[in-house]
Amino acid sequence: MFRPAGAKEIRDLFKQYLSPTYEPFFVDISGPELLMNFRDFSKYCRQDAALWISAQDETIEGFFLLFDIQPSLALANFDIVYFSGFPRAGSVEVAALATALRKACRQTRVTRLQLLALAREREKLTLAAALGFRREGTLQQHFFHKGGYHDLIVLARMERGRDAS
Amino acid sequence: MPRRSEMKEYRLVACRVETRHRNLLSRWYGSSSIQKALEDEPCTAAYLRRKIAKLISSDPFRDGQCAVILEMNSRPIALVHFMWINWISRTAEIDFTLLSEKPRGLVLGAIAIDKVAQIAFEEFNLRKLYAFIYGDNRRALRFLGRYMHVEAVLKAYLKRGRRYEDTYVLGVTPAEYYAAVGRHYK
Repeated sequence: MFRPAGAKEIRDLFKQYLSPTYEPFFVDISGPELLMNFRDFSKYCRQDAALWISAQDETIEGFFLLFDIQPSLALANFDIVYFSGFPRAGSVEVAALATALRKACRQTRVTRLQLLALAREREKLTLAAALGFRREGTLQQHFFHKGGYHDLIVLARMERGRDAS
Repeated sequence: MPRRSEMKEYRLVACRVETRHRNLLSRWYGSSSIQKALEDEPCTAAYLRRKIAKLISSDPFRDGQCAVILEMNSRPIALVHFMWINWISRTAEIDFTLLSEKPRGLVLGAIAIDKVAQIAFEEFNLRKLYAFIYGDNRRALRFLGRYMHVEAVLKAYLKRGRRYEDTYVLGVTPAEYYAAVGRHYK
């Protein structure tokens, strides 16, 4: 079950964030500048982002993050991490995740979520599709990671009522 | 696309936005059409003051942005704002706006975009430039479409009154740019 993260979980995430080989989910988390101290990072996670975690017996199984929330556009970037594999489409876990995601969107008043994923992150793309994300394009050779340039696939999920013109 | 011989008549100088440009930027950003093209929502006076202060103090290595005025015979003709410069992926977003109608549109646009490419690809050593263009800005889409290609269409991205507009993400690499203008990349 996902729930908003507490101070300890934010600290755990900060350690990963500072890693020199940071993972794709930190793409532009708060701008091109890294937040180098925990106070700024924690403030960002609490005020400008929404960090939700899924934990069992104090072990974090995964988290999702709504970041770069733009209230005037009612949109946010989204990313999700599962430490031991993504749940299968149609599973109870995915249904619970969808419920938590809707709740997080309501709380932050966001009606459009944007997700950037590497083309090789197939499990994440499958999960995103199950959550209602639709592909909007591919940013070519946009992200340098582990010695190479990668395409980023742009996906978005909209709440009902936010129709394209 | 204009001929290169037409473009050679003009010489552009790029200078970083400085305090002396404050009045120009205030006047220019005060225009509602510029705000509509560049900003997500109507701007307050306080927001514009902050924005201009940010442009003046911008530093590509400290805050990942750099604002540049392109001048022709000491006359400002374009503002280029490199944003979200990512020194690892070597990408940057650009806002690019012409401040002048002379010389005629396409030539001015072409020489200005050439300067943008020179700064980005030959000085900053970036590997890719991208731009967000609002769907209702047909002129910008037509013009930049000559040099950049559409990589994504962000559906219902921008709120205009009660409606939502799509936003286009355009991108270009040095090789694509120099192929488009028929010149070899040095």
